[in-house]
Amino acid sequence: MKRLIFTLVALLGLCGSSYAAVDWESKGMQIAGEIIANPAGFFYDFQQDLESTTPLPPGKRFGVQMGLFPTTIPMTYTNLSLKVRLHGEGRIAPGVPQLDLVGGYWDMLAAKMATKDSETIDSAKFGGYYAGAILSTSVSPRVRTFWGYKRSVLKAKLDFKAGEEPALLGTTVNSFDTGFEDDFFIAGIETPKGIGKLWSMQLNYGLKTQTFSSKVSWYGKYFELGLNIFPEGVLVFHPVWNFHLNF
Amino acid sequence: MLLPGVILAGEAQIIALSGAVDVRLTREGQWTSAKEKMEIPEGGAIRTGAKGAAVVLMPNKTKIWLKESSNLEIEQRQTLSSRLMLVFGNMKVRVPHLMRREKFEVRNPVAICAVRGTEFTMSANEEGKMDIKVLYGEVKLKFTVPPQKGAAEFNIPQGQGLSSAETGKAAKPVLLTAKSEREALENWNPGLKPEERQKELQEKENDRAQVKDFARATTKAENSVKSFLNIVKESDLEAGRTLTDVHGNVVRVDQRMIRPDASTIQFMNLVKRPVYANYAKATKGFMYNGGAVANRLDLAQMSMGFNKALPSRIEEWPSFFNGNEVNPTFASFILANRTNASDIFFVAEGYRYDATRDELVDNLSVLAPGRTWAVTSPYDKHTMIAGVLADNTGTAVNEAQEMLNALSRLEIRDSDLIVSGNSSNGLKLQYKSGSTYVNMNGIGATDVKWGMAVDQTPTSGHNYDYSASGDNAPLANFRADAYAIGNDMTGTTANQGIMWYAREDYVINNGGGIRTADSITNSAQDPFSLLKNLAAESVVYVKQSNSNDTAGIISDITAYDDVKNADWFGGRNIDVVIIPDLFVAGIQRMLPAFTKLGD
Repeated sequence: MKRLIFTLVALLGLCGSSYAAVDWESKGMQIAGEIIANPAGFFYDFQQDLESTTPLPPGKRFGVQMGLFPTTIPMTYTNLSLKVRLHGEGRIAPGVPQLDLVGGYWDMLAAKMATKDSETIDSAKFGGYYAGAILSTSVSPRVRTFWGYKRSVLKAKLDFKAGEEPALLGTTVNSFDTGFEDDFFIAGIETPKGIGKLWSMQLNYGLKTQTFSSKVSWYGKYFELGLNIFPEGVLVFHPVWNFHLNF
Repeated sequence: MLLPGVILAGEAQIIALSGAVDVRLTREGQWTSAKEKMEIPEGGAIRTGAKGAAVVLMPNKTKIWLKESSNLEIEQRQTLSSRLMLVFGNMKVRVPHLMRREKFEVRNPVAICAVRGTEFTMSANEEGKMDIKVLYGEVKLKFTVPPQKGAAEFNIPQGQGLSSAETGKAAKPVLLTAKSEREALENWNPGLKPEERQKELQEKENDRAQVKDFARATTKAENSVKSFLNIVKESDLEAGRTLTDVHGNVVRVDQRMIRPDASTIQFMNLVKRPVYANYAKATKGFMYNGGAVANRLDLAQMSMGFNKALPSRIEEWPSFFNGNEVNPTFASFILANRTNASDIFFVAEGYRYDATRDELVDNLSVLAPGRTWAVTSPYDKHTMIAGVLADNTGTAVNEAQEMLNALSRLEIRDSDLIVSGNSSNGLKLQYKSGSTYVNMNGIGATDVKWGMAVDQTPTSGHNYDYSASGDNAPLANFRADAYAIGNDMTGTTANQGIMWYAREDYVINNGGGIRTADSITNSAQDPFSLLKNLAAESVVYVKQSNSNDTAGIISDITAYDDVKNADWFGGRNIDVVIIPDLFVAGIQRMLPAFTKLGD
């Protein structure tokens, strides 16, 4: 423990000195530019934070999950994910992998609140859903690999009030209806780090966007702590905190 | 084909053995030497000696390995229910998938385990010591004698185990260690020496180590390639696309961002067309007088210079531009029809840094380096330069290109404005060739004029601006701005005439169709996909004026009527297609630079 504390203190010291070298204002402007360039992509990265694409632990049949950070707080993504085990590993026949169905839905609360206060926006809908299937198989007693597919959709719709429509190159714009959708291949590995505590690492590949993202997670009985990495995203690193229950 | 019921009707069978192995066929029977393929009925038992080992196959395909000094009883052997009792010793059990209602239990003096699709090891002695390691699946364990403390039932998933030192003592599952996992996974077949049991595992570990080494080497190689690519990308960003323009011509667009010198950024958009077909005048548009052209090349070029050398790495630019002492020194925007390198038709706009105003200005100072005009001056108006740059056929120098380069660096001046005075006829432009300034007009067939934007007043001077109206109208804009050639309105060289700087601007897709606002705003595509199918096309003309007098140009209609079909510089236009691919990336990476310019 003492060694751990010393290490953390040393790391904090290093971080402190490195912060001084970072030009935060420039970085902020750069991030703002990237968000303007691809707003749906920026918000979609947060959707990926709440998407649960790890298999159910051995012996569990159902799971529910709720993304807490950075989804519910501060992004106001109210969300719920479900997992159902269709087949336990080796149940039908030896070697047949575990099959889980996963899916979830989210809705941005802030978009609805902003609509109420806006004089120009009539209605705003900002949300998304995902659904997929995960196969998992044990390569050794303490290591499971999993792979699967998910379809992920983000929807953003903005209707302007009559008479308040903005003009784009001389043309009146009544509504914005945009979004983001992609199909992903998922591959990952999971290993326990204690009783009821698991560690997993997974790679997601978007077929349309042709981009990789990775997730590293530590999860126990109730909570999942993770670090999602989006190499081509605006915010490359997303620390993640999710609540889940498996039955 | 055998029915499942028939298969289950069989008995447990010894399929392999080594050393001393005995069987007892009934509960009260005598122990006799075991042989291969011997069947053990319900109530029977098998035991191994100090160096004995055996493998038993149950009718439901459950396989049981017994190590030395072990005793196993087959307590129950029915179609849907089997129960084994490990009296003492070590065994490994692999239970395959079972029928829906089938039950399989393994018991020892301390606990009973229910299993299904599971592989696990169990060791026990008669004093109540027990050890279970679950390799695959899950074991539901229940202590037959509940411990004094803690739970009496556990679900032990794979990768975990449970040890109990004596009867009644509390125990709970723990993670398997690498050593205990290896011991459980080793080959339990009879007749193997201890060193042979882990041979396969060792080989697998060696394979794994080799894969890890390979992955490490691959990552290293990948990083080397990435760093190499980064260097290449940063030194010369580029993008390209092939599409069809609004007139139906196949267009290849190539974009480059280069640094011609340490303190200058240059963005180039090259537009190549194998065939440029003639086209009719668009309604509310302008007349093209150039006819069909083969192997056409147009370009849009933006250059910007700074008072300091730029960092070599683009990533360092945000913090660089955030420094207070970095100022742009000039900016130039050039559109050119460069199909013939010796005869270039161009339109250029320049900006020069005014230290007093601390901003880039586009007034007369563009044509008079070193001089400034106050914001209140009547000469503080936008200027543009247009014309034809031609080679001098008598020299081997490509003067046309040299002049275009000088324009892009803004190394130009008007000989009437360099020292004093505020007026010129717009025909005396010079460019810097080596260390001296040379008159442009007079080199070959070069014909260059500069103009100053005409005042926009209610009674004289008006530009022409037309866009289709209505819901979901095509994104197209036709515009013409009047420029008085030179700015000498009252002197001896007054009224050289008016140049109409006319443009037809379109937002098109890759097929050449004109986009509508709805097709952009109401799309399920992400912005990057949208932008991949989006381009801007600008057709530029420099037209003559019917009146050469601003007095009558008081509305869109009179402005359009004043634009002649005839061009100022022969029957030519500039037709550039600009794709956003590189621009978006540039904006993302250099936004702080633009905010600085805004200041």
